[in-house]
Amino acid sequence: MSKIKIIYAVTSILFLLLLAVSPLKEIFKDWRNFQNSFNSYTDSFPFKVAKVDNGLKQIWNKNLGIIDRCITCHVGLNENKLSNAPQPFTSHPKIYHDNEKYGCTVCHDGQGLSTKYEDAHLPTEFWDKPLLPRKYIESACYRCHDDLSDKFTPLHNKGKELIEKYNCVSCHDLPGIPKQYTPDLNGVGTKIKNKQWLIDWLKNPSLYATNARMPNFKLSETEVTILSDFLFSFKERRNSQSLYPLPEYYNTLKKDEDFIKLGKVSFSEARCISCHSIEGKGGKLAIDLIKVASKASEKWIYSCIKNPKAIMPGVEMTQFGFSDKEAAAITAYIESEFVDWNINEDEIQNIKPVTGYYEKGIEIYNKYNCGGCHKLDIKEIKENKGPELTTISNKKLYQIEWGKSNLKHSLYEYLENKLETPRAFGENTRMPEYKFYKEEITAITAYLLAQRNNEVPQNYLVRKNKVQPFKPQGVIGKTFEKYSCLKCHSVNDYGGKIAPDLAKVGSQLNRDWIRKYFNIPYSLRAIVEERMPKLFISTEEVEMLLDYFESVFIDDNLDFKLNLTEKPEELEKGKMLFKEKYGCQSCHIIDGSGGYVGPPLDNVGERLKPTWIYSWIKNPQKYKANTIDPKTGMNEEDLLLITSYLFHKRSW
Amino acid sequence: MHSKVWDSIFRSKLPINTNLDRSLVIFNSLTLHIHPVKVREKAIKFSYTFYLGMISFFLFIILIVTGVLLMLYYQPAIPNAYENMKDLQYVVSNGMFLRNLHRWAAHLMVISVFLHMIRVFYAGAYKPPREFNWVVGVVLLVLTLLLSYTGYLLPFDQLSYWAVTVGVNLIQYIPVIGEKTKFLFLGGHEIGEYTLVRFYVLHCVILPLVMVLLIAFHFWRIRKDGGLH
Repeated sequence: MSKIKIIYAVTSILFLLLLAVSPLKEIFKDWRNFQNSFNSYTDSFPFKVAKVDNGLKQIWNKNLGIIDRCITCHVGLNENKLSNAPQPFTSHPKIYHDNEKYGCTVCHDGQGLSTKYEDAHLPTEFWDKPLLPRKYIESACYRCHDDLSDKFTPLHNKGKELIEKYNCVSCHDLPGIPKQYTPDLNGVGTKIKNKQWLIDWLKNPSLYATNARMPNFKLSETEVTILSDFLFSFKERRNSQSLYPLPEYYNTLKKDEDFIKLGKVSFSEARCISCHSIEGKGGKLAIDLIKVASKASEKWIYSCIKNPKAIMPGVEMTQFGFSDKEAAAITAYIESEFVDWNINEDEIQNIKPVTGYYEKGIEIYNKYNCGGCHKLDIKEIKENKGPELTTISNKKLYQIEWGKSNLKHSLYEYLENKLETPRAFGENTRMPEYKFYKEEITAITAYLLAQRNNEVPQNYLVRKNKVQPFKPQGVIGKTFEKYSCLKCHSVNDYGGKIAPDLAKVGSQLNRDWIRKYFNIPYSLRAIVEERMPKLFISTEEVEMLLDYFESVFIDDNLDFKLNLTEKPEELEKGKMLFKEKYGCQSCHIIDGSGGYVGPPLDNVGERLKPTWIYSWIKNPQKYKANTIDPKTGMNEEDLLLITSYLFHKRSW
Repeated sequence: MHSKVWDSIFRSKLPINTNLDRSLVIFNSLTLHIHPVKVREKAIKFSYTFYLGMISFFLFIILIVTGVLLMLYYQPAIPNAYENMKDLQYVVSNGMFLRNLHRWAAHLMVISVFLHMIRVFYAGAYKPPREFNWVVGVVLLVLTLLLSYTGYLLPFDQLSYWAVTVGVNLIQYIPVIGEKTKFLFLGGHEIGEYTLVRFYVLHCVILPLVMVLLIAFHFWRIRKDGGLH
């Protein structure tokens, strides 16, 4: 044989061996190992576990466009006995969906087509959606559902609250999130007392108030100076009510102790601290008042107490029915008490404006989209929003500007880091810094991950009925608006969550009791801190509201006759049932003793209408879905006796 | 051996003894008649051609075979195209091997065709009477590159998408017909399913057909222009 033939033969054989590598790799794939070790692993169990047949397995959901091969390795998913087995053999925790039907990636993301560990789970070059970390799984629920309670998606719902709280929608479009009230800046020069305060605030709002909602825009020294000069030049209150002049006697009386005392009494009577805090103590709905007198001018404070909605259009603060004297007295009280004692008044007034501050100020105002939160009625203000977030979760990784960061590329990593250090992804980003806690970041990320286009077919979507907005017209609407009733109360779930729903209040409460309550509000349960403020509301307004309650806020099902008994021995029987048989006293106080969980029931007959008492005891959850008052299932006779007993708990 | 079947297929009569018989074998065969009846040993010396043309041709054969097999697993649709890549990678037996074979053969073919051209150039083999075959060769080089380019879109991943975006944006700058040509390639105003179908048909039908015809012509011209003498 010639040399050339030998070379030919040898290379041919070598080449053939080389080709044999491919089928060998096929045989020794990881998933085969997993399946084999599953079978030998379950052999050692005392109970019987079904063996797996060797071979690729997949879940195919044609409607969802899903082919998930996860079950090739995760072979014990539906085997309840394997809840403590190591991965990938662990059984799936109990959920509401059949995983055989829905597949895996519809909730978990990851590369369902893959049969290799790294490719299926981790961020890789050729797949945009790596496995969602377990904490974010709940955001996947929103691919089909649109509204889930805290029981199912606590993190997501918390994130939604935070996004609402921090008013993210002023710069980013997000559907269904209402805009928060933020003060407009018309005439801010007449509100802010000293420029240094404004400068400090612009530099870092959280230094003034730790819970300030305004973020830190990381403005440069010059930007701050220009912007403060610019804002300070707005002395005129264009398109809005000018400040009310202080009454003449104010200047003479403002140091008078009795006058200040009157202010203090009105201040606590109106329960201002239901919403405002003072050095962190009190309500969280409005700003902390501790240093407010060093920040805002007297005239402004007076006007704000007198008629907040005229001075701050859109504000949620109640318009109390204070007289001018009371308002002035409260102003004097605030001036005497809520002062920043560290400010040296002499230093501050002599800061000269920078040249050209107006044009440069507009530029900065527009650059950071200040107008997104703070209205300023000059025509040069332009909307300059950040990217919309409606479909942020659909964003492809290549569409994201990663800057110089060395993150493992995945959307949730990006969002987490963006929220933590917003300017980390490039010099020109302008998102301000919020100093979120870790938990807040996780919650907001969970919410954002749920913002996506519908990719699932219509018949998979689960849509809840939307809450109908309650917007009465005319004088009732104006009164509701004036006292900001819906900030705390709701009507058929529309409105605040702090106080009870009013939709059936006309069938629930006695007119006389409500009338008294408006005059002297108190907390029904001693352990609940929130209390309705005293509104200083006029009698005419109260009567009008009561008429409205009794004609509109009515449940027709509660309009029926009850055969209540008056006989003392039967009332005694009702009392026995209440105390002995049903043990109501463990939660309710009656005759001076009992539990603190439910409201006290002495004088309950004055407060509640009998049909309400009757229907509530019959089925409490029907009237308040999340109440812990148990549905006892008592018989008609007991029900009537207890209702009669309670109805007679009254002074008339 | 002299059966009716044999005779009906092979025209040459056995036994082959004389030089005439031998040359008749070559003449009467479709596949062999491309070769001259007589070749001087010097003409087929390895260092003379480095077999570069033949290597390119065999790579082309490999590409056709693997390409046809790949077609069995491929749909020119979105998002199926990308999912098909995943299937080849994770599910099809030896799918990755098949795909890599196709890919590497394509890369090698571009290299070998290029080297072939360089060899022809430095050997002065483009000179008359072979100048037309040089032109055919250049067209074949362009076809090879076009095949690579059209094949690039078919996995429909980010790399393909942007490569084609850049490509058709270049085309757009051709004066007068630029816009129309871009539209023709894309089958629309942006890259989408129709682009995928157009590139698929170009890659699997039109370009290979032209290629096969031109290769046959190229080989025939080698003979006619006095190659291997």
